This record gives sequence, structure tokens and C-alpha cells, in this order.
Amino acid sequence: MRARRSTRTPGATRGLAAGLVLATALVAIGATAGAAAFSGGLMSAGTDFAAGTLQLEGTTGTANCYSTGTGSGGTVSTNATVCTGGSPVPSGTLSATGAVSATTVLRSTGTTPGTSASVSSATCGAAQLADSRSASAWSGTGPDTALPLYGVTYQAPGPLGGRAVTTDGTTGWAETTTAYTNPQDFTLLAWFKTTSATGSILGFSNDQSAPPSAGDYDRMLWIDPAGQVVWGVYNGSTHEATSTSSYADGTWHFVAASIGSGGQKLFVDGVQVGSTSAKTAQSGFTGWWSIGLSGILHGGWPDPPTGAYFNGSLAQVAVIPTQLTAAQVSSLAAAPTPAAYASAVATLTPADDWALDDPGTVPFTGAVPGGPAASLVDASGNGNTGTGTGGVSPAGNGPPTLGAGARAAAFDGSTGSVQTANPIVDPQGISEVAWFEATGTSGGTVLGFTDQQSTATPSMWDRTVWLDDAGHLVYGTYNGATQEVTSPGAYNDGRWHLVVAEVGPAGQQLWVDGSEVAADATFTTAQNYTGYWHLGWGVESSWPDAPSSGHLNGSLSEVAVLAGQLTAGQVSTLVAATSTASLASDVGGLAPTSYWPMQDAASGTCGSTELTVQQTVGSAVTCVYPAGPGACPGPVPADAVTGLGARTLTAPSPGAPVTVTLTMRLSAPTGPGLAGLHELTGLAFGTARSSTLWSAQISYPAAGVQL
Amino acid sequence: MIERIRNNKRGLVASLAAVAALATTATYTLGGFSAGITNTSSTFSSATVQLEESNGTTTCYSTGSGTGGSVTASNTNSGCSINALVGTLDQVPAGAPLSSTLTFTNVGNRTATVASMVTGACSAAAAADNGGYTGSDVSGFCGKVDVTVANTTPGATDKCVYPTQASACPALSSASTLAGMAGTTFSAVPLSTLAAGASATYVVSVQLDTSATNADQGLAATVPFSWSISQ
Repeated sequence: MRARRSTRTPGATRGLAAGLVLATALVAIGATAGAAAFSGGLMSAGTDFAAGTLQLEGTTGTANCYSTGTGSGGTVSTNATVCTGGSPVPSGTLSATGAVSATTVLRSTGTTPGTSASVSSATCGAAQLADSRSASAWSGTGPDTALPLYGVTYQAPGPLGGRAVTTDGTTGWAETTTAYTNPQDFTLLAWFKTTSATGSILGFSNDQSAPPSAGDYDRMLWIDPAGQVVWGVYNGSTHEATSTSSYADGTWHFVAASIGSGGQKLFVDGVQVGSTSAKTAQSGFTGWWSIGLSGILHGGWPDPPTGAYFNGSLAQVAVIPTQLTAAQVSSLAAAPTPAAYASAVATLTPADDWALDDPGTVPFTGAVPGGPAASLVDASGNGNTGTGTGGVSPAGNGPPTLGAGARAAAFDGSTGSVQTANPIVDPQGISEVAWFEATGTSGGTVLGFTDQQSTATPSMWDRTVWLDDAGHLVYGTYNGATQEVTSPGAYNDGRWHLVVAEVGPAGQQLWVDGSEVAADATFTTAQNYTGYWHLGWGVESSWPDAPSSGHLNGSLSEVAVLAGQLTAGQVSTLVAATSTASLASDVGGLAPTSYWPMQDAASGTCGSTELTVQQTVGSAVTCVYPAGPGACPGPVPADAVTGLGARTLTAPSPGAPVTVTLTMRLSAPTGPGLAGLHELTGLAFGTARSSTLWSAQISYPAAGVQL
Repeated sequence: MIERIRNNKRGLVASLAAVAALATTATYTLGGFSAGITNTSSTFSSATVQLEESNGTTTCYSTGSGTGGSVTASNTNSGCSINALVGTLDQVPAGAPLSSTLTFTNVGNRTATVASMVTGACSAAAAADNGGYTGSDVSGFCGKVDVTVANTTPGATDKCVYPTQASACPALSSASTLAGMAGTTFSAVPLSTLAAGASATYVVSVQLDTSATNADQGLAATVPFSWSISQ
């Protein structure tokens, strides 16, 4: 048919042959339809199709932050902004005696509003000053991360054009987290700037969180009342190497202090300015370095400062586990740039290297010294808090697929377990969800359920997910007889896996990483009793495929128990989550009866901070966290920052902003180790178009509050 | 409307010669009775092919404005303001598809035997009301606008013009976008040729593809459309 049409074209050619005027419309538009006698043409050049824009503005105080651009246009790419100004959390210091609030106004500033919105806290912890080294000198283990306390600020101008921290001279300092036994033969390096003839640059004591109260304290660098730099060690008697000049002159100086076979030496700006014959420092105790504070005022030193806290700027503090030569110190002092200096220090294999150029936005993932025992907040809102016992400890990061915000708890395979608070009456028709990683050939429990709250021998136990000795995952329930479904594959490979175990009308099902690996449709009912959930521990006695150990040898992250059995699509959604916030949102939509995101496993810090989130749209006030109608009640311990996860807000639209009010309070049982920490709440706001890739986000990683 | 009569040079010369011959014969006849016919209306007329486009609110003509006028050699109106892509601002991914119904009529008196739709190059730029926020995916935006063109004229043999000749166009998807349609000449079935006075109707459907990312915000894609018929 098309060929027949084509043969008509010569008819037009005949018209052309007749000498009639050529149609030029086709020529004008470059058409190749064939020359014709008469023609008529129309052209619409302005034919267009336009996309809208989705932008989110957050106003905190007088600071505005936009998901893209700066409020006056810009290029839209990721449409997600890390806000550097303003804070959605209350300023100042939190206390247990009174709640404080802060508001953020969210506006839709694009042409197209979102269809959903959220507030989330994906990563919460104490701010840190990173140690770029992980040395084992003097029996130290791992990076010696420092934790800034009280009056410390970040990103101040540093030496050589770099960055520094400042300390206020009255409260600010940084404690460290790795203990060292009897450091000898070393060199301390630091850059300092001050106008105050007082304060400690660095110290070493046996009181990690309160150096001024330490019983053992030496290896201290301080500024005496004359502005001179003093380097003090104690080995039965005090030894002070003191500069002859004052350096409290408001300019940067490089100090190097060493002890070793060459004696006690003090260099400033590459030149030796003091020395003693002492060759050793105090022995016989294990201690911690302290930055900006020392035990110098505890007494016994001839030339102490008037104040123990440093008042000025500090940068590039390092501990070299050898006594440097004068030439080496001189070479370091001559480095022209921060990069050249860092490179030169690196060649000296430092035991510790705190650049102190941190942005103050990275949360510490380890256990806070002296902080409360890790408790696992139940983010379902049901208060089923978990408490670790035995060998359960912060494990740092969780599954990489959930991004940097994922946290985990580690279980030692022999004593560690987490017990939960609430008795649960005969849970039927449930899905048990957990990210886990495990090794070893003794098996271990991911999630268990017994009629005992503790690890005491139970009378009834089932609904247990475990690894057998070969690494197969097993899901066991009991209904007059043991009911097991077992994966054909092994998962004791040290890698993170997402397990979903279900029992209910659809049968007993076991999913791993999104795929169903075992099922039995005839197992629909578990044993009827009231029990407690156990993480990382369970009882498998009398099951055919029981492991050698009920204790997990591995880590858990993002554990939840959901009411109802999940479909394959819902399981796929869970495994596809690429952030803790996304997973929290997914889990939140699946009726969790218990949900332990493990954000507080790494640090008890945020589990001790109570939070409520309230939104106001026009005259409508709603409590978002904890969810409820009307205004939020006062914060309570059960509603910690770590339980926020991701919560749904009303999407702002043009002319209808959403005001979000965060109210915070420190929980009364807060341990003394938390006082002064800079807590980073990791708050973010987002709006999105449902079922599309359009989203707009603003996040406040630097927004913190002092505990 | 355009001029209804159009002479070509050869026809004009022939007509004038005929009239002159007749006049000459009448003038030089002698005698008492005579009979003569003066055919003063003898003419030779050319036909007309004119194209009218309407979307229901706006009407364009290939020449003139609907009430006659001088036909130029091009017989082409390159300033038609009809927006086949609807032109509605602020579309979103997975939003409701938009469609534009275009009716073409041969308002001339001569059957056209060829019809064509020619699409120019697709270009993307900042949308008129984007408030200064322009997506970074300028080069890829044309590939994010799904489009189909269907011939809905009763009796049309094949109904889909783009993306493929078929009895019906497929659903809008990333398989048929402005990027794929741009710079193409469609000149065969299923385009309808138009007899004198006949009309054909086309429906252009568009949507922002669901794969559009944040980088596709605040952009507008433009594709010139040219429609023509010829004898």
C-alpha cells in the first residue's frame, strides 16, 4: 500500500513538467516529499514542551537554605543541598531540666510542589576530630579519634593557609579514645596560635574524661604566665624544658617536644629553645592524650599556667613514636603548605595525627567514653527498647548498601545478646527482618523469641532465625512439632545480608537478599505464648538443625518485626533501599511492632536526647514524632533522636509553608561522659514527587547541640 | 483567503492570443447580415492548493488569512503560532499526558496528492517560567519528552504517524521521544492526502518521561513542525 502511494508522486512531477509554479514550501523547510505543482505549507517554530521545577527552601532563624541554587535561580542537578548556615535544632546546651525548641519553615519555591515530604535523622552521633593513623604503638588499638567538648569551634584559619580548631580557654578541649601504656621515646608536634599567656596545648593523663582530676599526669605542653612554652615530664621528679621567649603573640608557631635517649628537648619554629637531661617520662600507667587541656594544675609543677585550658587555635597535632633529630624538626618547620607538612609528618610514621581541620559534621561511630550503655531504641514507637548484655558492642558501620549512615551492633559469638523490654502476646502473622553479617562455623541466632526476658533457660521458644553450623539460614517455629525451613545456601561469609522470615496464613517463608530461599505453605502458625524478642541470641534446643552456639558471631543492623506477611514486592523494596532514611521510611509503612535501627548502637549519645517534632500548616498542628493528633506532648525518654528515622510531613506548596518545631531535652539518666559533647543530629528535610525521580532535599549535618 | 485564479505564463499568453484572434475575425467581416460571437469571458484558470491548520482556537493558512490574498511562490506560512506540543508549562514526570488535536483542511480547489509532516531539530533551553532554575540535562532533555503523532482522520489507513506506522500508536514511553522524532520527514502513509475541501485530523500526544531526573527540571524542548500538501 505504501508503494502504491509512492507511485503517485510522479503525478506531481507531471505538474512540474507543465510549467506551473513550483511549490517552495517543502523546499523552504528542507522537505524531501518530492517536487509538486501547487503546494501549501505551514510551519510552527515555537512548538515546545516545558518541565516544572521542584525546590525546597528551609528557613531557620534568619538563614535560608535551598535544595538547589541560592534562592535566585541556578542549575538544577542533584537538587540536594548540605546547608552550611542555620540550624533546625535548638542552640546552646541541652539539659535534663528543661526542653528547648527551634523552628524551621519549609517552603515550596519551585513551580511544582512535591506530593510528599519528610523529616529524618539518618545518622546521629558525637562530633569527632579524626586521627588519620591507626597505630599499635604503646599497645594502642585503632585510630585515636578525639571528641571535642564544650567550647571548641571548627574550620578556623590554620597555619600555612590550612584549617584549625579553636578552644575558648575556659571549657573547650578534646578527649581521645585510645589508651596508651607508658609512651616513651617520642616527639609531640603541634601548631598553636594564642595571645593568652596560659593554657595547655597537649597533655597525657590517666583520667580520660577529666585530666585536671587525674592521679597520673605528665608529658604536658603548656604556655606559662610569661608566654613561654613549657615541656614537662615526670620520672620521679618534674622536668621542665622552657623556652626563653614568649610565643603568646597571636601568630602561628610550630612546637616539637621530645623525650628519649637524646634527653628532653623543646623546639619552637624549628629551633631548639629548651632541654633537660631527662630521658624518660613517667612509667607505670596507662593514659590518654588530651588536646587543649592537661592535668598541669593538679599540682607539683614549678612553672604552671594560670589556666589549664588553651585559649586560641590549634592545628596539626601529632605524636611521633621516635625522638626526632634537630634536622628532622627543622625540616618539618620549613614545610611551605599544609599538604607538604602532612606529607612530611606521614613519612615519620606517627602514632597519632590529628589534623584538626575537621568540618565538625562527621559523627563518631565508636563508644563514647563514660557514656551510657548502648540501648537500642525501638523506632516503631512501641517502646520495646533493647539492652545489650555481655559481648555486644558498637560495630561502627552497617551494611554498605545503606550508605554511610548505617550503624550496627557486634556480637562476640559467646556472651553477647540484646534483650528487649516488652512482653509480646502470641505474635502470629509476622515478618522478622534483619540485616546481618556473620562468620564462623558454630552458627548463631539473628533473632529469637522466648518466654524469658533474659537469657535464662526458657520454657517455650520459637520464631527463631538462626545460622546453622554450615552457615545455612534456618527459620524455626513450633506448633506441636518443630517447623523448619532452611536455605540451601550458606551465609556465614562475613558479608551483609538481608533476611526476612515470615510465618502466617501464607505459610512459613525465608527470604535472603530479596529472594525466597525456603518456604513451607503448611506451616502457618507459631506457638501460642507471651514472650520477648532477643537480638543476636536465641534458643534452638530440640530443633533438628540446631547450631552449636545460640550466640551470633557477627553484627546486626536495622532489625524489625512487622505485623503481617510481606509480599515479594515488599521484600524487594526493603532490599532496594539505599539509605537508612529510605529503609526507615519503608519499614515505617509496614506496620512495625518493633524496629531497632541500631543508630544508637555505636554511641549512646543520641539515645539520651529526647525529641519531639511538630508540624504546623496554617492553623493545623500535628505531632509528627511521636505521631499523634494536635500539639506534641513534652519529650520523654522513649522518644529519642535515634528513634526518629524518617517521618512523614505535609508537603509544602506555594502559599502553604510547613513549620516544623523540634523540641529537645537531655534524658535524666544521662551518663557523665556525655556532658560537653557536640551532638550532631543529622537532620534532613525532603520533598518529592511520588513515583518519580524528582526530589528536593536540604540537610544539616553540622547542626548540633551541646550536651 | 488567497487569490482564486492563478495564471501561469504560458496559459496567459494562450488566452490573450485566443481573444485577440476572435476579435480580429469579428472586426473584419463584411456583408448585410452577419453573425458573430464575442466570447469576452474566455479565460484559462489555474487551480489552488491552500492548507489550513486549526487546533480549535487558532487557525493558520499557508497563505493569506482566510479571506483571500496574494499567493506568493512559496505558499508557505512559516509563522503559524499553533503549538503542537501543547506548550503548557510546568509538566512533571508521570504527569497526565497532554494532547493537541490539529485539523488540516485543503481549502483550495485542487486535490492534493502529497502530504508531509517535517520535524526540525529539537532544542532545549530554560523554560519561560522556571524562576531562573534550569536543569543541567539540557542536552538530554529532548530524550525525556515522550511523543506520539496519530492520524485520527476517519478512514485513514494507518493511524500512527510516529513512532511507527501502525493501526494505533503505542502508549507514550521512552521508546518514542522528541529526540527520536526530530529532524524527520514523514511523507507517506499514514499521512492523509487531501482532496479539495477535505480535512485530516492529527493528535500529538506528549508527556515528561518517568525517567526524568532533577536535572530535567525547568527546561523547555522546542521542535519546529511543518505541514504541507501539494498537488
